[in-house]
Amino acid sequence: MSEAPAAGLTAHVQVSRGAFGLEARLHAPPGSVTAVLGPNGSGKSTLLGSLAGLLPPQRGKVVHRREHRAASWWDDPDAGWHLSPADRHVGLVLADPLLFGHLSVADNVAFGPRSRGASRSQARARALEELERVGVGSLAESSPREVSTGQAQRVALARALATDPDVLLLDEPLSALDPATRSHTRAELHHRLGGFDGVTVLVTHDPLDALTLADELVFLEDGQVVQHGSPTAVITRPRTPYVAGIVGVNLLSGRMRVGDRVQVEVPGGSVVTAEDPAHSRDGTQVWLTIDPAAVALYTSPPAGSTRNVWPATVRDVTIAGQRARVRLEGPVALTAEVTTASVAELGLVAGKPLHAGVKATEVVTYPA
Amino acid sequence: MSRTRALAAAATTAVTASTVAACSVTGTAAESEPVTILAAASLAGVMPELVRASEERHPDRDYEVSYAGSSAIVQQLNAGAPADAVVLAGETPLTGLDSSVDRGRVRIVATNTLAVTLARENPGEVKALEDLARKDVTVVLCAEQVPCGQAAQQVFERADLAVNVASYEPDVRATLSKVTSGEADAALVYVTDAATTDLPVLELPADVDVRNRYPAFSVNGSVAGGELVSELRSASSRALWREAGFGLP
Amino acid sequence: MSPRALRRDADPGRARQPEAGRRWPILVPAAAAVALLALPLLALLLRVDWAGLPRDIATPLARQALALSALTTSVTLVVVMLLGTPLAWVLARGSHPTVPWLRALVTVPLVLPPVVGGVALLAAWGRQGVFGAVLDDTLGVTIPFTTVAVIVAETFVALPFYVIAVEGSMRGLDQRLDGIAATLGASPLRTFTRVVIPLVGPGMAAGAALAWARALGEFGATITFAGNFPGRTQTVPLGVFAALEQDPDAALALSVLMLAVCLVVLGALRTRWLT
Repeated sequence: MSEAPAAGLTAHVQVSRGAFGLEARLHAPPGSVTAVLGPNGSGKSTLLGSLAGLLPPQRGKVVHRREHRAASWWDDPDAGWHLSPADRHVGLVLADPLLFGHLSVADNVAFGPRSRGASRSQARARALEELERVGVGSLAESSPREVSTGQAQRVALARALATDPDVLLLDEPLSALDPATRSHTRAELHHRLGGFDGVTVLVTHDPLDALTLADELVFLEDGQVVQHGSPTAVITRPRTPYVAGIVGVNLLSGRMRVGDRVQVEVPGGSVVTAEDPAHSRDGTQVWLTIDPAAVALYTSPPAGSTRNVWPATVRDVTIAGQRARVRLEGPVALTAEVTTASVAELGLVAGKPLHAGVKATEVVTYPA
Repeated sequence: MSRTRALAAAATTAVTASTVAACSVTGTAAESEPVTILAAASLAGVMPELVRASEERHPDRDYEVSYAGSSAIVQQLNAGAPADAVVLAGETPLTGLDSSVDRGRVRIVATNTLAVTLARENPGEVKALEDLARKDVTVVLCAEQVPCGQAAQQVFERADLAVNVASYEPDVRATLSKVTSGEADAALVYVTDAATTDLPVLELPADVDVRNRYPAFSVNGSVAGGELVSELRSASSRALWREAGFGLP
Repeated sequence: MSPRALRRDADPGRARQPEAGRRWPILVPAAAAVALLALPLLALLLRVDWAGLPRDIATPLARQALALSALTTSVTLVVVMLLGTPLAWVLARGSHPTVPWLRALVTVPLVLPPVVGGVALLAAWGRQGVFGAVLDDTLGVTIPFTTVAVIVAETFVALPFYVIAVEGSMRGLDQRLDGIAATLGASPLRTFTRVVIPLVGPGMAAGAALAWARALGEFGATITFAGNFPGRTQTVPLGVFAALEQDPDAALALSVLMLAVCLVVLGALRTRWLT
């Protein structure tokens, strides 16, 4: 980095833990929320631990700069530089609240300011202020044993924010909560993060957290960043099956064949698209998405405008309210979304043979 | 159910058997039982020789000797320790002997005087008894409840010396060991103990030295014990006592 | 047996309370164990001359021994806690391969006969000892026969009790708490004093009680290494040993007093920390 880094957190970390290796880059401007997603073992917590200063990277550089201030170097392994967690001004919230059991809720939140030199009264005032902002002001004098997990998580958030951190790091903060508490706490979190001017990095495996709280999504798989972008960009153009699974679309990859029509050769067959042959180049490697709702199911091959028809068998059916998701097996494996009524009409049980059809206009392609 | 019964039966048998075995070891020693002698610590060198002579006279007897401070021996007797004969290093501990202990007639079998044993190469630079009063000399004595300790106190009284004692050891052998190991510079022990090491010895002037008389007696009417006490005063025994450095009554 | 009784025995669904008579294979050995422990203590209380107790406790031997033990065990406790708490932390959190060996080393004085401990201390710190000789030659300082030697002997035997009790407590602490405290701005020392120690407080108290009791009762290492001098190295156990031959009543009185002190301390701790 030869020129001054932009404001916010800029990180390139390379960490090895035994057989596992993580290599990730990210940049998050002040006030933004970046969600890091990925399957278990992808390196999300390692990345967070590294940003917190608890897992020094073997290679890379991590630097933070506040608006209109000089940059603060956090990690530069080549120069032998590592800034301790205490000196980084980060706030850390983990999946378990991990409140200090021997201190009251207020004293827990005041711990950070006290450690950084605030007087007892200053720290206490700050603590009460933060507890109010997350909506648990009335629990100030309670013992951590007396509060529910959801309340404890909010206290943990208040504790992390009471030190006015530059970067807030959240590692699956809602995963230990039951679904009802989770929605409520997610709303509180959304509200609180709106008022926070520092950088937030949120590790989660729940797409709902990512899509509602984050400005930028980063996907990790096997220690590598496989995709990043705004929620909209990711939803419309996922680049790995995992990402596609998160956003709930069918994803295929293949090579474009341009003739009178544009087709994409995928393993198991070819897909006709509605692309303009004049604007497409033969041989391009592309990703292909199909909305599950666009996959129609027929007991016998349909006639008509549907250009893409494949034989398939039902793998399983999951019902969610009025809709049902049907996973198919066949030359081109897709997930279809149909009405619950259709499940009954078509007799959709595991192993049922049928045909899946997708109109060419419903196929979206983009370069891989 | 039968398993627990068998276990309980086994436990009861074990307890009963060991109780019976213990009870069979009673006070009066039978001819097949060993003859138990409790002797003062300062006798550890000479007793084996004296006992061997008795063993030759009574081949069917098995003599066993155990050593301790004289006052400890008295406490053991009071608590009912089994013994056939006892030899102490002084007469004062006798006053602590409980009247319930069945004691035979007391005979004096030997006497002993004190000397100062010095640590190797005399690090305390002790040349006379008065040097023991110097603050830089580490002196150990026997505890005042044992005859050797009482005698030492008397010696210092007669010599009109105030000695800085580092430690009072439970018996004369422990006292001597502090000097042989080099932890102390000097110790007041019996001349017989001083003679067992090759360390330098400072003799005491005759006007301050104290002579202890060694009483011996049988216990619980033991015949073997009584015979041993008499044998300790025989002519051949007297030769052994003298050879070891003891005095004779 | 009547047919009715047979049928009742044969009913598998009916839970049967074992009669008291059938429990005796358990109760008899248990009662014997209680008797083994309680009878000697009871006998102490019966044998002591209660009327003469105040006078027996006030003898110079008893007073000096009590005062000395009070001093040495207090100092030993402070030393044990100052040195033992960080060591317990190293054993609880350390990931270095030497840690299991360290733990084994700490356990040795627990199983070593105390008099052997005394011999070892002499070998190290005696006038002819490996380090003691150096101390004597360069500084003219000798440790045996001093009150310091008593404290050294007591610390040697009591430290493992404390370290092992506290390490157990510390292992129970979530490791992630350290990381959270660090991000909140606490230095490692502050994390240790403000987070770790308060949370392992009960473990420390239990360990301290065990260590103190062990130090108070130490005999073999003390008499071998520190010697026996009233007021300087004759702690209560050594005093009782000497009194047995000099003044048996004082020995009994001191023993009863020790028993009372132990019961009071253990009783107070049991209700707060050990349950």
